[in-house]
Amino acid sequence: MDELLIGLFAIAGGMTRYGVDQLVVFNHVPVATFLINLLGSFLLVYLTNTLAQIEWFPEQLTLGLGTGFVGAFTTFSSYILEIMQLYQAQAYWLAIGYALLSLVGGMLGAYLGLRASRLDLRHLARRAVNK
Amino acid sequence: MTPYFLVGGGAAIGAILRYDATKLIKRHTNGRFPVATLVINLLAALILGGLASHLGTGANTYLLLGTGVCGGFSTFSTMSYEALLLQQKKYGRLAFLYLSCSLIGGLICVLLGLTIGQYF
Repeated sequence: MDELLIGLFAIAGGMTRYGVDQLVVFNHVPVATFLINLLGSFLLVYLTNTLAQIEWFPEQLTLGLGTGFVGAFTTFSSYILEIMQLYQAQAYWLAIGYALLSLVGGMLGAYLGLRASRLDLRHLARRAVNK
Repeated sequence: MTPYFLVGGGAAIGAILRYDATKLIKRHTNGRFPVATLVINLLAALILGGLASHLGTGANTYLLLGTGVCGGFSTFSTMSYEALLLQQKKYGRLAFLYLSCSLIGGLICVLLGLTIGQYF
């Protein structure tokens, strides 16, 4: 059952990735994958941490959104292929910059996702207490 | 619209394979190092390299198998999350090792794939 939900959400994730790829074209600089991977790292951590704390939210749906949608939205293989293509086009600094900024940016995105989910939960808890 | 369906369908297959492969690898490994995602990402880089040089990145088959299946199979967000978790638990060196292995290993795999793809 988990597989079905992950697959359905992954269709949307893959299509969104392709859509962003088509929309964000910036000469030969792989801006689309860069943005996708940063945003996806934030979203995965934010969603899994926030939704896991909401009791009524179905666990399977969190799995679908996280592993399915965001997992298929972000991509490692294209990231690596693009670094290699930049290298083969002799854009060495761009290749190195893209490679390292993605890794650092991904971790920063994940960190911000964690912080954001904590802020949100504190807000929810305060509202529940006030009721 | 066709490219969207090719990529979407491929991504569904890729994501399901990733979910099941992660479960399978985790059953046979232990320890803090995220072996499952690393293996999956390196394998995806190898296959994508092969597809890119064999089919060319413009082909419909590439959209289905490369952008779709490999793109959905590999994942960047889980890698970032796992690296962050290691770093938060004061295993900063392990996080650094994980990201280094992913990047350097990925580049070796994609180069290998690009080379192999030319011969088939």
